[in-house]
Amino acid sequence: MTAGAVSTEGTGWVHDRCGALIRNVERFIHGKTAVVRDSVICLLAEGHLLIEDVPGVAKTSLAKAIAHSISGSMKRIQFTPDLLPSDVIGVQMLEKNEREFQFRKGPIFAHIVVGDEINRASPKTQSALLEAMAERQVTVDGETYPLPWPNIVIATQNPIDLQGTYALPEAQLDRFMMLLRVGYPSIEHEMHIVRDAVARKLPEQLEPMITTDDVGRMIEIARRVEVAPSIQRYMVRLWRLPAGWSTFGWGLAPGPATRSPSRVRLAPSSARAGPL
Amino acid sequence: MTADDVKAVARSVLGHRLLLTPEAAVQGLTGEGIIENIIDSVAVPQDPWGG
Repeated sequence: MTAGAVSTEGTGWVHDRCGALIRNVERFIHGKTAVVRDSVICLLAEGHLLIEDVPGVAKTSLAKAIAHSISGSMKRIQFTPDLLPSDVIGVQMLEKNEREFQFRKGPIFAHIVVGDEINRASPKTQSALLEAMAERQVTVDGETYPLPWPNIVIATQNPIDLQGTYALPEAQLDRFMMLLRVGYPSIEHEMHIVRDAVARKLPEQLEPMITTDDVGRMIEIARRVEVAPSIQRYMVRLWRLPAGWSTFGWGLAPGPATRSPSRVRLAPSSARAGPL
Repeated sequence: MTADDVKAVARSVLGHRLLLTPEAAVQGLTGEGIIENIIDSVAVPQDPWGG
């Protein structure tokens, strides 16, 4: 890593806190170092994280383990088909003894929001969540309420072909900086998981390793990491390539895929890499 | 930041932003797989600060 404008002291501190965070999450999530590391990178890049996999591979546990390793406000939303947008963003209520409506903030008003099984919610509710994620604010009846900073959503979803799911529209998928898949554990790691289950270990029992203020500071330091022009060019070349697919002759995507190339919609800012 | 940092996250950051045609999906292609192939095919800059 080229630290550029960032002091060595600052990056050392970030490295140290990331290490502590990763080790803490790994006390509960076994054998998934790469996934845990990528989650932390996503956090540093101030990106929302989507974890997609089949039921039972610790998607929710990973989300919870990260959330509980950070002290500060954390809310969990279990998405169901009958969940309403107001259950996520909040609602105007006439409080007892008050003459005016008061806005009662929904669970999105937290530093870390765990959204479980996001694709079980109706499109309307998904849309309310995703708009809040993109704009980092909520508007209800013409009043705008900013979300706390940092505000990171860690959502899980089942693969779209499972019953009872509403696929996230593609335009909303890219609200998430990263999509991670957990994958099945090895036998050895599965033994750890069984041991944890017997010992009644839960991700909620993890001690917080960093505060949300720390996360904010880490994000600010990560933002100042300099990216050399040649690396910027390399990044642009990576994500522009599929757009010019039809002229790019390689064996991977013959036939239809080359004639109607896969579309890439990318804001360069959404591809900022963390400094790990 | 180095090219390796970019490579390390490219799959997770870019894979879900590719929209595959139904024909490509039927062939078993995935966004992540395509990104991996792209990473292999694009030359890595040798001198990061050389521009």
